[in-house]
Amino acid sequence: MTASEAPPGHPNAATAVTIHGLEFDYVPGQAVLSIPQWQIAIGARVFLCGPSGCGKSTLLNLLGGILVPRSGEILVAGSSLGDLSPRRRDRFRARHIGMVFQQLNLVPYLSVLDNLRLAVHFGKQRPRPSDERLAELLSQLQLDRGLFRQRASHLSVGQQQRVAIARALVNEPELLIVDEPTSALDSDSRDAFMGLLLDCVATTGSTLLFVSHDRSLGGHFTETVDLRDLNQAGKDRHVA
Amino acid sequence: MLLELAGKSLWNRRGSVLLCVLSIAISLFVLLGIEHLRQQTKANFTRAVSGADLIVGARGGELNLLLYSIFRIGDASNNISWNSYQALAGNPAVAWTIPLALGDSHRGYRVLGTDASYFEHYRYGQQQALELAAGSIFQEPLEVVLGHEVARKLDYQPGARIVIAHGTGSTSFSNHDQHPFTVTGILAATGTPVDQTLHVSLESLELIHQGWPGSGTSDSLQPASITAFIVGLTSRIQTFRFQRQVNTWSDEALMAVLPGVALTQLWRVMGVVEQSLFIISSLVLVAAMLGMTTMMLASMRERRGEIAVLRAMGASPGFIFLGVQLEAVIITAVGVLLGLGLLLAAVAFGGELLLEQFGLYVGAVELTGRAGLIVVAAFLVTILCALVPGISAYRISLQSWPAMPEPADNADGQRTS
Repeated sequence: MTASEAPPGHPNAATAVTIHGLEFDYVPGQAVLSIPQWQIAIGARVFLCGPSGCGKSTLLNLLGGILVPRSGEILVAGSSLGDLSPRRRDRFRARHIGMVFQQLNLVPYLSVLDNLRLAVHFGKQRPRPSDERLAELLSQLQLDRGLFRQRASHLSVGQQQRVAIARALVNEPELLIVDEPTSALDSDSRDAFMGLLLDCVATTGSTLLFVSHDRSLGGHFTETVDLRDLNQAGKDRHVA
Repeated sequence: MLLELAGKSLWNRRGSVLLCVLSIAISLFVLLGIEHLRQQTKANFTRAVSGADLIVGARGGELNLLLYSIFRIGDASNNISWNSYQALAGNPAVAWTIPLALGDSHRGYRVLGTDASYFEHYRYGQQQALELAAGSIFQEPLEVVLGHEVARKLDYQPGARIVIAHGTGSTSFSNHDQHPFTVTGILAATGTPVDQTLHVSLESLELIHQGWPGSGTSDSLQPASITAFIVGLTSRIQTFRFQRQVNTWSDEALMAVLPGVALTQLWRVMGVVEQSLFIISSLVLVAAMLGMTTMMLASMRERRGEIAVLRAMGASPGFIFLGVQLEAVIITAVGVLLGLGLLLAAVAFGGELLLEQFGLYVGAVELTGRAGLIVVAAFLVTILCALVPGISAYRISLQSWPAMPEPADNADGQRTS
């Protein structure tokens, strides 16, 4: 399917994410992703599931603007990522898209507060969120003030993941992408983490795209999507 | 922000960074040190002959004549007879002469036989005349005037009595024991070989050598020969004519050299050594730079995650690239500063040793154009070398995430995807 066959690609401000005729491959001829049409409504909490290797990570890279589709269009918060220069796409990501990975979300040698300040720096928001605002956000994630000046690498995995949410939300992005954030946590911490994440998203009003292969988490979300239903490329190929 | 990040990243890896800084500091210390020494040696040699129009000695190497007569390095191949000296000194073109007789020593310091004209006409540095720091010049036989360094090192005061040894080694078995000298004066410091010299009259030397083979046979104290003499002409225009007269002297094989010309020869000889040292130390610097490149390139593997995080925050690949470049420049900058510090310290504390061991007077470090060029070149090489890890980081930053290794500090993280 090509872009011309997709419905008229008018930027739709009412969606957080709109995909038209997305095609992507790492090796020409071996399509990894083919998504004719997908939308995420503003404020939605979407649970995207699917087994390993079905293209989840690739889709997130595309939504984050790190990879560029072979054809088709991706709109995030009304802006077409493909129309932006690489430099502007990086700036757009800094300001409008928050990302949390399964592990290693912080610059290890910076303090908790410095990690947040760095995200603020790239976000280039005016006025800059004050240190007070950062502290408030961290407190909301139940991080003790005593940790603020600690090196990120000295924190436990659970603490690091909570700081990662703060870091991703500090610029109040329209879209928050979270990829397997609980895989390194035990089940008690996982539930606490999910609770805090959803509270914070509610506060900032960000749309949440949560990716996991763990279907038991599905109950927290307004919508559950299996990537295998979405992806027409549909072949079971292992890709990173 | 870039600077802060680069600084903290370096501090995080301070162990290996410190080693890089040290190797760069040492190579810059060597490079700048050689450059400084080169300048200082030139200045030193030039300092010591500022008043002389010509130097006359037995025929041989021009450079050799200059070295033994002025710098007390090496020995004369032959002497000048007293008669030839008298005849040439009487030439109407000659304004003054300073006779020089060498061959004796005192505890490693050379003894120079001369006369009062030495204190009157010898010039060093910016045409400065010799000055006495204490006492007076020699009047009678067996009186000695000490160079500043000799008096200071051996702790002699005017009135002290010393014995002179035959030959120029620091330990001589034939001392002139029966003829002890009395110190009458001490010269002020000059920063030239004068400081390491003991000055006595020609008559004194004749007196202590009476009865030795090769000395005069008469009882008078008029010397039979001298080693060399320095000539001041009435007019510079006479230089080449007088030089030719000396060079074609029929009684014995003599030679007159212009100190400037002989020095140029010296620079040429030294130039080869300088060049080799310069090339070697440049290679040391390049090796240090390559070491830094290797360190940074190796660290890229463990920094993949960090780069991915920065990218997720919105850093452009250019930001990542510049960060790596900046880290390299900071390492070099600290290395340069440390190298300069080492050099300053070495000159402050080691200058004394050089003066003592080699009679080399090393002045304060001043950054000349060439030293500046060396520093600029160091930074250029840094930027060039840092392209390798910089481009590596740039390419990593274009890769999709999560292409990340296990986080370094949390071994308990498990990998699923």
